[in-house]
Amino acid sequence: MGILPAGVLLPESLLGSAWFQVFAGFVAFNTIVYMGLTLSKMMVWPRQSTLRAMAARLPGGPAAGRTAPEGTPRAPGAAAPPRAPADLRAGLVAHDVPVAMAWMGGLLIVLNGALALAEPGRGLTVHMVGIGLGVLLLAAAQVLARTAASTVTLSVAWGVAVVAIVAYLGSPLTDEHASLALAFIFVLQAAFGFVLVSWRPYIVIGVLTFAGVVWGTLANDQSEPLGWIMVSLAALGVGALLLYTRMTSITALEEAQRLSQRLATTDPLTGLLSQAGMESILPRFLGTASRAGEPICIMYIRVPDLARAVTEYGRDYGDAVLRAVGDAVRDVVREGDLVARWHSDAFLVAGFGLTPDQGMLRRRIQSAVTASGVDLGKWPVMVQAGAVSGEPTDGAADGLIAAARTSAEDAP
Amino acid sequence: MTEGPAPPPEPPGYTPQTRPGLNRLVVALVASVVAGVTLVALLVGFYWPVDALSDSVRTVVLGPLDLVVSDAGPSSGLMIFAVAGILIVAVVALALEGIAALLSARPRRKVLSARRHGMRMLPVAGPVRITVLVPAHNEEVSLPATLDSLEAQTRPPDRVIVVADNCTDGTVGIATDRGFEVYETVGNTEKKGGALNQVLALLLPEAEPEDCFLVMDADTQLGPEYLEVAARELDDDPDLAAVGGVFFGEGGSGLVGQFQRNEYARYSAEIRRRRGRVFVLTGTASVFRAEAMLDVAGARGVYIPGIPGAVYDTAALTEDNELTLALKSLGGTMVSPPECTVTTELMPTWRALWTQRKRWQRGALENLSAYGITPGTARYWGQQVGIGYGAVALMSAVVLMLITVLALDQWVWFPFWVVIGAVFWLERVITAWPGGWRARLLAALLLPELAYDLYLQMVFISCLKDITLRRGAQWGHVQRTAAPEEA
Repeated sequence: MGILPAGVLLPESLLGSAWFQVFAGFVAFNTIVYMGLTLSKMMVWPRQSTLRAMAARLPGGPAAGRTAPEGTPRAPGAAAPPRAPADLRAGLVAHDVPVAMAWMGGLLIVLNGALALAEPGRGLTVHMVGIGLGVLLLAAAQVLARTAASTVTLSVAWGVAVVAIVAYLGSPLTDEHASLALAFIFVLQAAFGFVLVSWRPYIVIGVLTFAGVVWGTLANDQSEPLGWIMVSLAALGVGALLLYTRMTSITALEEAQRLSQRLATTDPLTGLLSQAGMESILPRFLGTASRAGEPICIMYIRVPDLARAVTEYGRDYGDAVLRAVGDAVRDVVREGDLVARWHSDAFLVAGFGLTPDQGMLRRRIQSAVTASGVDLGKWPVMVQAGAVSGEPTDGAADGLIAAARTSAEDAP
Repeated sequence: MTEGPAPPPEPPGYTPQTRPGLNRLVVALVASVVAGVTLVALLVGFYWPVDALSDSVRTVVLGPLDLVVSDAGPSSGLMIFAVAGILIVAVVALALEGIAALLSARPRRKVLSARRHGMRMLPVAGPVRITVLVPAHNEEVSLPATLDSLEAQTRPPDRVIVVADNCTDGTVGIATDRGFEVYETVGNTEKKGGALNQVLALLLPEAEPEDCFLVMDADTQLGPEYLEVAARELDDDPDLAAVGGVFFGEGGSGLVGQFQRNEYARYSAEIRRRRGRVFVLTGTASVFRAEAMLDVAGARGVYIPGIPGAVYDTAALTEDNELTLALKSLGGTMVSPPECTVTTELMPTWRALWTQRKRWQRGALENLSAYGITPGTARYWGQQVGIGYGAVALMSAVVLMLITVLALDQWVWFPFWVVIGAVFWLERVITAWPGGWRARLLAALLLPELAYDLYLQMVFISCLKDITLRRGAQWGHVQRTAAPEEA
């Protein structure tokens, strides 16, 4: 359709009028903004950091035991299985590749749009190619985010592309536009590389490719700053991406440290906090309570006849009893309460709020222990429980713990 | 089946009501923000006007065609402001999301449940138990398919209750014949919300921490994995308040149906990209923790609007949007996993669609007026402003194109705008791709969907007008007469 019958209704001079041009500027502004927003909506979001993840970081937290599939008995000491490094890496690739691609796609579109406007009529084809690439990248990011990228395929594609580009650079065919198009491809290569190959090879290859881009721009005698803008902006974008990767690896490191911290503060027998773990976390807990203006309550649960049970039925039975009581305590108290194995025969719970009814606390734990069936065929395991509450002032914990203990020992 | 006893005398204030108060203020607020943004954009146009036909027009010979091409594009100043505009909108949108997310870091819900359980010792003891509530008002045609989809679940529901609300057809018979529990509402005058409130008032006091309720429409079918995935999400995260469905349109209803299917499919894809961060927990099928419902019931009249003790606010036109706002205001977290698919009824005619959308739109605006501007609702306010400005932008673009086409005596190509148009076109087609060739064709034609968007924006404007003129609102319902069987 070359020429349509038009111009019949309105005079063409209308298009030259000042108000129409202002209106056209208004619509142009809206359209470009909406295009940007439409493309940004294609962005894949990071996963929801749920409260569960936060709760799981607290040692002995309630979510720790619950993440295991139903019916699988919890092995002593294994509160939550540590995530393998392979998992971490797979997550990095499945998540970071699409995110990096989406960033690069957006960058390419904005950059080429801006450059095409800065010098209308020059290098339009190249910029159109750039915008097309950007859109393709965004679309690919979409697909990959849905189906988890295959590392191997992408690595091979990346390697092949690097070889092809280096070969092309060596040939004498490079003219102005080709070198600009190359710059795009280099940026893409750089963006993919860092998530596909490991950190150190990437630095080497990245430095080499950028040296190639700069050299290609200079060698083709480009006096105008277009190529330079390209290279510096691309370097900026990639620099930001490198920083981003660095930060993700730091996050992974932190996670590992947190894991080892958890192992150090966990009681191997019951999977609850150890005494040392509880002591290290209590000051922070008191601080939180005091900021929130909540009182804290301390519950002390003990198995008075543990020593007698060990003498009569053996050490294994003693361990089984402790595990059963530990499970019972953890299941009976609220979510978010800290539960620790305190002494050889006692458990300590710290939570926000006022004291629960001491008798009901004991009955609930007692019935949970009985229901666990640990003492079948033997004389019954009885528990004692004491609970006190108080204001979360500095050093209040020791007094409260002592009071709860006395209260438990005095209880029937 | 039987004549219910006379409805008990209603306590004062418990009468069907429209939202009191400040609806017109909402309209004024949204309209003035939209006007402000329009003014800013007009100023940009004033300082950087676009002259399409100056001296940049030339003729390009392309094979047998002589194309008249204009290289005119926006000036760099306009471009810089446009990029700044994109960034500002993106930052504001992210900030509003962030503010809402902060609410769930220290949720009010927890404070409420602490006050509720004096003992405060209620752990979630085991896997969740899901009770399905199917409110039905004369749904004998749609109900069998709904019940089929419940029976086909990979993880069966623990209990199913059909809530028959003022039914005069065979709804009750169908449910009881197939062995489902039926609860018949008594003297309910408050539609779906009232019916659910009645049955929840019986169920919630008995509920234990692991109890959850799936509330689903009787004209809706669940995907086979819905309950399995929802239960897994709830098991994995004890703090998760609700799991929503991702809805798709049923087949049929011709062109108007296809428009809605494309719209729903795009919305679902967006939720998937947002990793389940859902805007509204769909009323077609969503699972709520009993604890979360109790929190809402307890907070009504205190932290959030409504009658104390009622889970659903029956004054709201769109009860799903309202319940979402309620949960979010209390810091409840929610997710809509992509596996939790729901196939729902489409509006078969333009008139029915108009009524439905008007109810949604009006409900959303009225709910905002009831809640005011709070951290939990900030992003929904932003959404309304976005819809309003979208109407301004789209309509002005259409007007500009019309004027240009009518005034030019020759067809002129603008490469810059062709590229921009191509980007929009690609986005439309790619996002419609999974919907099959009909969806792709409709998206590729571009103009029909443009017209559909204009239609939806007319709904918005008509809503603003109605609220301003204080016209009444109504509830639309499609009464099915025959089974909708179409491939």
